Amino acid sequence: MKNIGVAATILLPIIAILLIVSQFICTNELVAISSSVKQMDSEIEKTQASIEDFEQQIASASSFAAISKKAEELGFIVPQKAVALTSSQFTVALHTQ
Amino acid sequence: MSRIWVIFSFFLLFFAAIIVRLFYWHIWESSKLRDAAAGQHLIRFSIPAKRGNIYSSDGYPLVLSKEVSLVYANPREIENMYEASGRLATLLNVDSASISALLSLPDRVWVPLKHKVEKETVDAIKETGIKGIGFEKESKRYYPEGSMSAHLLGFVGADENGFDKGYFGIEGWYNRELSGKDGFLAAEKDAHGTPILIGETLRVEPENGRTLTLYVDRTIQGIVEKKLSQGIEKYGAKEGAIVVMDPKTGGIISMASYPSYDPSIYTEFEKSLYKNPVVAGSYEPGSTFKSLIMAAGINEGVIKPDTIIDESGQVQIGEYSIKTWNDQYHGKISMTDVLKYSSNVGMVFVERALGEDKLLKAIKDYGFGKPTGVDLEDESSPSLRKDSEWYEIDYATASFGQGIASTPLQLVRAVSAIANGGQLLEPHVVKSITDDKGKVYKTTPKKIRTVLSEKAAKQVTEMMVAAVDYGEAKWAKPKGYRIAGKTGTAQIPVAGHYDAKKTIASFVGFAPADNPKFVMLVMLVEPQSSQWGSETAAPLFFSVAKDILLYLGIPPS
Repeated sequence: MKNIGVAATILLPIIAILLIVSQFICTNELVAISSSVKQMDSEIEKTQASIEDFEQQIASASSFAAISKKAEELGFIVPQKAVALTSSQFTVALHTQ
Repeated sequence: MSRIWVIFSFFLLFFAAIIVRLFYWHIWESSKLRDAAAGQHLIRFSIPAKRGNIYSSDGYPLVLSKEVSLVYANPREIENMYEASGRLATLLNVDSASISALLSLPDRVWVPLKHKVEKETVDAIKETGIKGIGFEKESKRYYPEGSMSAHLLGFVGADENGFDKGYFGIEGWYNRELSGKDGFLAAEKDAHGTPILIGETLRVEPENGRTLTLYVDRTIQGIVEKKLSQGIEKYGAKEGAIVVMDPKTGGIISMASYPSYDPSIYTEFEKSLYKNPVVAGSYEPGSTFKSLIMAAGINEGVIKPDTIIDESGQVQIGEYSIKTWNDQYHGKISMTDVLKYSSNVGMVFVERALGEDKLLKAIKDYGFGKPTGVDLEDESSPSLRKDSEWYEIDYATASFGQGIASTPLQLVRAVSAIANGGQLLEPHVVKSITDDKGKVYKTTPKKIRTVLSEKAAKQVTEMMVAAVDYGEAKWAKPKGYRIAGKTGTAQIPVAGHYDAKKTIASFVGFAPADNPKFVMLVMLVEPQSSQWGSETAAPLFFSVAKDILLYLGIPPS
């Protein structure tokens, strides 16, 4: 009976210390995970914002107004007449100068 | 014994009262009390949903949502009020006095300074390092194509509570789908209203608005808008509109009208410009209506394309004389010639052959007098007069499109029935809706009713092809293509009579006639170079049609 009491006196603090240490480790891990999750969320948000920004830039650059301006600068002119090419079942209508 | 009953009754009533009171609190007033309690210990932040984008059928963005910011201030934290006001006013392009007034409001911890501020301005404000200035995310509509399709798209303004709301066009009709559902973050707060760092929080993510893909083809829309603008200038018209529809699906491929507005700065334009004349405008279709009545006559079997009439002079109806547009008469002519010469006298013959009841039924069957059901907010339909108010002269004039009002879209939809073999379809602008999770909901063509037999539709198509090939506007037709069409010149009713000098010139048709890819109406209001549709709207129609046919890769037959 006395031995059990001694064992308990030694073991219980050890278990308590182990639990505290494991709690520290777990908490630390959770904090690290939480921090990286937050960082990932932030990165996702930033990436989404850049995607949206790129989409807007692409949309602006490929708009009719932008294309017409660029075409004019490069010397393209409005075609005056069209020619249709027919080869058996394949037919294509083309704008030509 | 009686005392026991008294005490028993007392306890019974007492507990009943408690139960009633508990029922009142827990059931009857529960939501109100829950909200009140939440208001006392929770602070709630709204997480705005992103408004959905709008794309053309070829995948180009017509409307995007751009991230902007609400700039606000906490006046208590601002150190130098006058200097801050001056710098903020310059950056935000706002009057300095109004910023000072806002920052000087007593006991205010949060004052909004300006909504929808661009990222560049926000960065510039951050660089100044002024304390007490904060930013909240907002979204703003961005139009890569500028004012293209303005009437079709509508715009986003604010509702009575200052929240974004779509008005007119697609933005108005699909406001709920585009808006999505705002999320929120609820956190516990202390007695001072400050969020508790380790308190409980509840985060509900926003449900972003749905993405819309239209039937509108960006290239065709570009062609139509450019040609319309050139046509209005060339013919000196006051207003104009073009609508292009796919006769097989009812999809609106293009819709443009002039004058228009820029949806990104809609407040700078007159409110009268916001309504789309193609769906909200009312006009007399004039001779473009003849092909519809002719089709009804052929469908009923009362006439054939080769039925001969004697067009020898004016037709007298009571006190009114019906004459041809140029007061010239061609003697014995066929029904095909009636369309070719656009003969009002010939149309009175068709009306009489058809009979009043069948004529009225045909007009109603084509969908006139009722909205088409197109998914645009501003649609309205001119109503038909009551059946009892139709007189002999009304039936006669209706046969050649006068004394009857229509929207341009109603006319295009009715002519589509000739093009597609007799089916009246519900027009649609939106082709598909994609939700936040990527699920796609497609719009299926909706048939309203069969208005013509396939045979009648084919016969009228041939008559319309002849009207183009041998009619007044034959010179403008692109060579080698079979195009079915009809010109129209409607006088504008002013104060109970028609003003001969003010006309609405129009042309409606479809191409290629044998397998139509599009039905198109061109309308010019009060053209100055010529009042006739054959000299203004028809050449413009053919010019647009030629470009569309080339774009679609359709060669001459």
